[in-house]
Amino acid sequence: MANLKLLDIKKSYGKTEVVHGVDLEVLDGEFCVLVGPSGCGKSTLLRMIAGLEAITAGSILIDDVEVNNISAAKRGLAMVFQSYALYPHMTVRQNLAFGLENLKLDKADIDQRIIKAANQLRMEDYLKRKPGQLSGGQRQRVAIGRAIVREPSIYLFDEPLSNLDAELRVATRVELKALHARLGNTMVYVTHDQIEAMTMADKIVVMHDGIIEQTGTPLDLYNKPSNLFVAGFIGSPKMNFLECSSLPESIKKLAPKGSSTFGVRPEHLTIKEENSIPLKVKNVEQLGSDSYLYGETIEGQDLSIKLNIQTEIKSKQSVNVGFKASDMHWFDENGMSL
Amino acid sequence: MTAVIEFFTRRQGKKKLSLVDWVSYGFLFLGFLIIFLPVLWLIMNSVKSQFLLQKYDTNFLPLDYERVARATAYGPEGKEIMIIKDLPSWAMFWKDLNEDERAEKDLDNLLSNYSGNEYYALRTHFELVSGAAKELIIERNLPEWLIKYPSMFPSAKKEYDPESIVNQLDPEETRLLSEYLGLKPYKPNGFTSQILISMIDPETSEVVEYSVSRIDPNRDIVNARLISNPQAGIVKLPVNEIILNKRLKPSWINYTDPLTKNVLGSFDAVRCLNNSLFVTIVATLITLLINSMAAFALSKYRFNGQIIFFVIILATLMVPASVLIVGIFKMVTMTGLSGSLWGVIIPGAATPTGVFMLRQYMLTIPDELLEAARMDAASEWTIYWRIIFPLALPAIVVLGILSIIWRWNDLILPMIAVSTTKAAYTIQLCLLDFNGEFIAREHYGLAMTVVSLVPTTLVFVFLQKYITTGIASTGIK
Amino acid sequence: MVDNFLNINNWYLFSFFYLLIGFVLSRDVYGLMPRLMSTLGWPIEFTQKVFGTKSLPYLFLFPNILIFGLFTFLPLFMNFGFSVTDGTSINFENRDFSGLDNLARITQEVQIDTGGENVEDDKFKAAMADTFVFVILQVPIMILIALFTSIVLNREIIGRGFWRAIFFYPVMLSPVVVAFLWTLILKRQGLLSQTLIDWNWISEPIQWLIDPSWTMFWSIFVYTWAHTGFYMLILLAGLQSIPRDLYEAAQMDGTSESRVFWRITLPLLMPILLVVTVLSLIKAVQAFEELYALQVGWISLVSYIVENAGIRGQKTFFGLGIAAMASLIVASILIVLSLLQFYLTRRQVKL
Repeated sequence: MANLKLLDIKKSYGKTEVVHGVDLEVLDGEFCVLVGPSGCGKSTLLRMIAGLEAITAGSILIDDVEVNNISAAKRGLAMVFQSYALYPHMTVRQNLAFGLENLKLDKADIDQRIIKAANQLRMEDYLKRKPGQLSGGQRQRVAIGRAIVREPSIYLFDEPLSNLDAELRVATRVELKALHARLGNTMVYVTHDQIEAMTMADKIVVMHDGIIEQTGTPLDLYNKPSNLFVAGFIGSPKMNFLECSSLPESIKKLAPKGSSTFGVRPEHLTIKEENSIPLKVKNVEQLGSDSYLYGETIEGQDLSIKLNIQTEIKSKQSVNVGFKASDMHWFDENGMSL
Repeated sequence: MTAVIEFFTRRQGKKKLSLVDWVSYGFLFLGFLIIFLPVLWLIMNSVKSQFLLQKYDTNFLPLDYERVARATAYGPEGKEIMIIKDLPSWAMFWKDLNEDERAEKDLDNLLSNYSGNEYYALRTHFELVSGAAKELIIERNLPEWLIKYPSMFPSAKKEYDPESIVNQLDPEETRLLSEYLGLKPYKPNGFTSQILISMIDPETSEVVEYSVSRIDPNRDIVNARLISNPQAGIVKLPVNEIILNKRLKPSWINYTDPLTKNVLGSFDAVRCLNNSLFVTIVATLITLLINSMAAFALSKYRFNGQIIFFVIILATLMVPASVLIVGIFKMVTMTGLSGSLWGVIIPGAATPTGVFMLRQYMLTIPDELLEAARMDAASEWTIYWRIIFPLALPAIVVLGILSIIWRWNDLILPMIAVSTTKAAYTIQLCLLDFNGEFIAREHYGLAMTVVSLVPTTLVFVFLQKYITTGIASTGIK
Repeated sequence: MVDNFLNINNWYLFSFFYLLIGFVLSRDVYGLMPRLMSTLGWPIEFTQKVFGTKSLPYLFLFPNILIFGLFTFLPLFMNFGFSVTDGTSINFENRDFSGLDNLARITQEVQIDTGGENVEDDKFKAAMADTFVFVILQVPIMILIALFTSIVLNREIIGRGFWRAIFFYPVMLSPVVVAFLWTLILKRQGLLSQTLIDWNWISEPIQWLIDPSWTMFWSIFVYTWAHTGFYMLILLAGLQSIPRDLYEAAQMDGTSESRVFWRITLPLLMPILLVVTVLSLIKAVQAFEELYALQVGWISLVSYIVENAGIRGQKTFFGLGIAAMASLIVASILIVLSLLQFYLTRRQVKL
């Protein structure tokens, strides 16, 4: 059990700075997801926490103890890698035992921990096999098992689901969440997939270009994105953004002072006449449960709508779309939420 | 028959062999002959007896003639020519044996089967005369000058009268002493090995045996001596009617003698082989260890001077041992390794080829594995030998095999390091010196040459795949 | 300078203590292999524990670099040292500085010590000239044969693996064995002379290896016999790396087989052919072991060095210096050739 504090962490490779001063606190037992597009510095941040990369400035505290100069091996963390990084020449059992042997635990203890982890992850059947003989999902479990047997204070996950197919990804997501509930450990999880972030996190940290854009619970981020980037990144399909100048007068008058961009989520739009934006439908997708409409405003700005009903509307038809006042988002010239 | 030809010339869904195909196969077959026949010739010669080798036998197989001894004895009755059959081959080639080998043979037992002139001829052949004569002189208290008499100048011999002494002895003793002293009518008895042939007598249709000294393939007749009556003189026999009693008779002693006892004088074949084996195994282990360590550092770390180190290692390819002979000799002496097998092992243990090959392979091992191991609290040394070394095994096996071949076949480093110490000779050095010094013992040398081929050939036959992929991928031998 | 700063017993003593310390330090490691490896690698484990990981790459490189230093780079400097000094001793204390005298001894017509006619320069120049002839004839012949063989083996041949193995086998033989193999055939009473006499082609046996009109031919023949397989293999790998679809496209266009060879195969194989040529030049300049064991009737450059260095015979007063000077000359030839090779293969070496 441990908490994690990052104080003004910076990282440069040569002259290029890739992480520009990150402050973050992960509470004991929290499931914290670092999310952001690729190249945003989230993996680098995770690797700095792990001790695999040196930090250029700032400090990392685990349980309020600075670990900047402590090697990866001695931080007491465990990491699950994107490629799993299982040792291909060792059996599953040897993979699990390797780290424990390095810690010079005695044999009985090692065996006991492996049996316990194998039980938890239902991998007793393939303990004697090598990673090459396992399916993607099984490899995933071994990678997690290798972290579990270490009994670390903090678990680090580096995009662990990205090599799985869609179906397995959903199942593993649920399992990981259950695992967290059972173990109660602090976990730091890196992903570029906002659905993973939304479904698993206690706390989401959205990163972009080496800085933290917003930190909060999933619903906080969804309901109150602090800026354009977070608003656009969280939620699927993407939030619609319209320039204030192009809005109909009826809506423009609702805008707070200094607004530059108006945002509304596709799922919050409905077909109605009054207080609405006229739209020309270009394309309709019927998914059975939902329908997606893609259209263009008079000013030529794209707008998408998600309806949770089946619809009769055809493409090239003109409709009016409206929304509740509480679902509106306003952003200033700098993209900050108002 | 046509079906067989068709089977070999058929091609999957294609037309018959074209002219280019025939030329190709012809070329390959010619290459096969040029490469394989000399090797086969060496192997076949290595099981030919010393006798055949000295006769420059050009038969492919170790076909040995059945041999008989032609002996001549001189006595009061004049000269008698005898043919002695059934002598063991060591007795036939007694002159070629060294003292140790002679000591092992039971001469007395053999001689007890013979009597009369045959006995006298064999006694001379086995070089027993002078010993027995000296013994007799001492035993009978005969004058001491008798011992020196055979080696005196003719002018000095005139002052003595050995005949008067000899004549007082009994006939056997007279004969022995006369042979020793060279008194008439006794002359040194002759003994040569000859070939046994046979021919069907045109009149009686019986098989008659003859002995001949040599068969000249360019002549139509051979000079032969009837075995049943050697005194009858030489008869001329037509070559095309004689029957040669050739038998396939591999001479395995060529192999067993050098491997089981010391027949090569100061060259101990077994010790040479052991030295080579030791050098090959130990040097290969060291090479694999230190080359893979260096390759690990160069491929998996970022550090100052990395490129410089890499270039330094590659630069050593430019100055091979053959142009550094003087300098290496100096350094081997300076470091105290001269004359020791370690002087062969250590200077060649670091190979640029190995480092380069392993580095290229290690670059393909994902860095995440190392990071996983670091998270697993593994030290860098543990990462090296528990993760990197096993994962680079395919390349390490290739290097291991190449190293075995290099080391077993190496001549220059042993020449530099252990030339002065026979005890540390490797097999290559042994063969080189042995074949230079003992031409009369060629049969042993050839056999040991073949033995030296065995390890590399075995490696080649069973591990060919690794060698060819290794060479093809790096282009370095 | 100390002539013998170490002797073999120091080596044993040093190794013993090295292993002893490792054995003690690894006392808490269980299992045979882990214990053995910990015993061997204790300086690296220890350094990581005490000083961290910064210096570890240098430690991993150390044994290899140490051996290169002691037995490649220092010998090169020693060679310089020997080449400018005179004497029979290998101990520099007992050698006199002589400048470039040794160079003069192997290159000038007049013997600088006696003022008389110089024989040494004739020997060295003969070695240079003979080696040059050997290299100039042997390399093209071998490359042509290797190229032809690899092209034949690259065709749809039945039993390709078998043929390839046969052609490669001589590479596995040691130079000494190669030499004996051919001595058996080429000596005065060897198979070749005997057979030719039997066929009445010649009347007197010929000393193929010593006879001045034959020695170079047979040197080249045996050397080529022993080494072709190696180059054949590299060329074959090169041929097999040429994409199949190029040939198929040419087939679709109805290109003739000879045109395919000149316009597709050869140009694409050219880089490897160049590398192989330079590589075989480097090897041929160093030709020594086979020729030495064959006792051929001429002296190659490296044989010249070995003979003068007196490693296997009597040391002469100028021998070591002359050998070192000749080594430097050969080394500079090799360095030029190697740089050429590096230039040609630079793409393969990812820095």
